[in-house]
Amino acid sequence: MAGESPALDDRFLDRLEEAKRALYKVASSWCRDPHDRADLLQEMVVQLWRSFERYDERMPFPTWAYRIALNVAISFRRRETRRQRDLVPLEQFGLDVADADLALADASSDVRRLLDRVAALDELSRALVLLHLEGHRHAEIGEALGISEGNVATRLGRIKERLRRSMDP
Amino acid sequence: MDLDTMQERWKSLDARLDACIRLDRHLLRESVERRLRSHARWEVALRLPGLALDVVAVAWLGSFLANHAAEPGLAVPALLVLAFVVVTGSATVRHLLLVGRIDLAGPVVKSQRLLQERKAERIRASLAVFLLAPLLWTPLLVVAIAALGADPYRLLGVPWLLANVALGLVAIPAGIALARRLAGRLSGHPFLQRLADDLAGRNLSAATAWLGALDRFERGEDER
Repeated sequence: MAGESPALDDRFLDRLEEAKRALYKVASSWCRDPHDRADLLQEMVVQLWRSFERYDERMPFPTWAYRIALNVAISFRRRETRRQRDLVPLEQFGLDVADADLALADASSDVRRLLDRVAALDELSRALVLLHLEGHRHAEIGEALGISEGNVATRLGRIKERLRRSMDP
Repeated sequence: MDLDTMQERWKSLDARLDACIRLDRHLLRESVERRLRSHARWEVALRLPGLALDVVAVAWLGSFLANHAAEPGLAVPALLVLAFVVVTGSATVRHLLLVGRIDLAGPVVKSQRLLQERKAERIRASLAVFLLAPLLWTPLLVVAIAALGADPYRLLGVPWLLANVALGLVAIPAGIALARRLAGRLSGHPFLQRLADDLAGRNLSAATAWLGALDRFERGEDER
């Protein structure tokens, strides 16, 4: 039962430092609205902690965290209702992303356009593209999503073509 | 501009983001624990006492049935209530078992499928409760009065009981029509919104559609 979990330990918080960027990138690709993004990031951290006792050290922590972040993000968008009573501003939650938001706003117009195009994809294709952008190989993407390597290659090819057409001036 | 070129630019953000995002360990500990307590309370408050009540109800109804097996006027209503309790109780057990199987660190398609199956299970249980409750309250009343030692048919009268069953039959389509009218219009009331969307069939349709999308994605088919 989640309520019986021990207090957040330093081991988890050290690991969270490694994964914070991944969480932020997924959340930014899923939610453009700052309140929704704050809610999503909080949900990701909570779910990471709830799952942490099952974390297998053989997998790099950011990869493991990325999978959870994607699952939480997809579920978050499909949730029927939101429990707003649980939501606190991100800085009060202990996660300050204000400067990261500025960094993203300062990013090249290509990156911002890319984020817009990625946000327009369906949720599963979006997850696939994000894993590709993070530099994962087809086999790793297939494993993370639960589909075959061939399926990853085919889908990625289609999405690349679609994005290329939509991003060409 | 293609996706492979963008890969480098996307990765070039990493160092800056790492430096920009700050964690406050003290606040994080407090916030996560507060949120976990809230999650735990919700699960415990809704699921376990209900399940305990179901077990008590099954035992009591079983004993009632054994005592009144030769009286169809009491045995049939008790059997209906018992069937309802067994169906809703087993739905709760299935829900809790599904929760235990969900691993959010697992492959996305598999985890999402389990999450949707859990959601569909919850919606079906809600539908069973809210659609059958108007019909079941009459047999429940019959059993309760008989358990107190009175004759419900003599006390309330058969016409009154039949009128209640008829009212229940009318209440079901009326409830569905009302839910369809209200579905999607109760955004300020999350619980009522979910209930209306469940009864109107919107949430079950959405869950089924998402399961279909997951299957197509896994098979490599294009999204419709």
